Amino acid sequence: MRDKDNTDLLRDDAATREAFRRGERSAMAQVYTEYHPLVQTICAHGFGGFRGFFSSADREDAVQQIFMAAFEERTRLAYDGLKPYGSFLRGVAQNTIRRMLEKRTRFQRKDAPEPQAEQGLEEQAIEAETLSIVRRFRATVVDPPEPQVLQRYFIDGVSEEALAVELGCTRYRLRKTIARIHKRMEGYLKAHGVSALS
Amino acid sequence: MVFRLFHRSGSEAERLIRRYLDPTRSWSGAQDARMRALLRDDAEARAAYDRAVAIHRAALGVDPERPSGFESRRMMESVLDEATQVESASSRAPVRGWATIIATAALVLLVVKPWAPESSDQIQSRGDAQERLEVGLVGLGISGVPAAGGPEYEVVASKRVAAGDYLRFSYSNERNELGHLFVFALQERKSPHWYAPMPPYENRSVVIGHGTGETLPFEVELDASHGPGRLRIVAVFSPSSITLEDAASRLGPGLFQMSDSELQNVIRSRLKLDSSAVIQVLETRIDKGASK
Repeated sequence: MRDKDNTDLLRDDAATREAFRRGERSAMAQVYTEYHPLVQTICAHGFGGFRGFFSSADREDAVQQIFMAAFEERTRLAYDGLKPYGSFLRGVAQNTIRRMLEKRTRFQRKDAPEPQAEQGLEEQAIEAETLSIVRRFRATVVDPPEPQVLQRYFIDGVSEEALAVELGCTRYRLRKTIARIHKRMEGYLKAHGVSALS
Repeated sequence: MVFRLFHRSGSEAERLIRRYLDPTRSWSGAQDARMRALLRDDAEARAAYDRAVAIHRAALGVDPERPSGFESRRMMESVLDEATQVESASSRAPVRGWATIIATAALVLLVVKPWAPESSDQIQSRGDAQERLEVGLVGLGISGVPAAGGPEYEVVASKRVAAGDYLRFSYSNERNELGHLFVFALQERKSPHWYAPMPPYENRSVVIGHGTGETLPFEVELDASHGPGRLRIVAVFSPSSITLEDAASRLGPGLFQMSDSELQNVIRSRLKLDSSAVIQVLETRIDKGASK
């Protein structure tokens, strides 16, 4: 994407562009990582008269459908490498979202704004009291290397392979730590009477 | 405040949401597509998803409007799985990676037939194409991963794996009805080693899909709990899940000394397995020597 400095991964990097056109997994992974924020923003804030999806489920469904459409062979080959890929992908995103909106009557908006749109996603999904309890979980993760694993694996999304190298441990050990953090999170929520389903 | 846990008996959508946010469980493109399809048609399931991801994001302290890094990685891998599956189906692209090559090579030699009362389970060598089409290829592949790093190596045909190294598992499953895999190992004078599910984090069979050379998302360290000597690894592909508790209480002692066919029959009977379940017994030997 890199709009700020007027660069664009696929337009400017011929090797990656060709690998992407050939359907190489590593190139598609690079494209997903690079342009995911753009697609997420389109799904959250919309375009034209569409104000974006209110629900995380719908947003993330749209993100997945957009990338699936963008990664189809004919769509990959349709990108000419002249204009920024971000603009091309924006077109794919808008077409995909239009098709979703046409297909589902529940997306048809009334003239008056929906009350829930005034709330953030988080407030719509969880009660304020629960939210404040859940937000305190992170401070309970203090035993090394758990804070580091929480940051890099859960928040930054670094892969197990890369993180194991970064931490100088085996993947097996890393998985044990990941499992411990997950277990701790479940235990914390249970201890505070919070559940994933209301 | 309402307290309600996800239940295993909950809806399919709930089970998938739970799995999606569980880093100890594998997540595939097919599962992602299935979950999102279920959410599209079910307002209650969408609300459950929104709540579950909101709690996950709040616990991590990340932007509630965007997936966490963990979620984003799962989403990306799912799209890539689906996209490359379409790609390989159309182009018949060569298999990727050593794990797939080793697993596929091992599995080409093995076709495990579904059980029938008149014929005992046998691992059939070099099943022909017709046989493979009739029964569907089902089998477990195992490779060794050196603790010190380096390429993985074959452990079954060579009958050798070094103590301290790791076992990596892959499976092929061409039979849609066999959606669960339970793996454990037997050693002389030792309690069974439970590999999948892996206690204490999991308590029932791993859910598997249809595929060839699919790597299971964990490795098993051949630590001090594994003594040197024969290691018999048992894989049970079944239509319904098996709980660790049931397996531990029903299997009982004395399995290690049995022949392969006797072991298969006893496991089938003690675990009350459906006739379509497939049981495979593989063997290697743990050497004290240095990693390969």
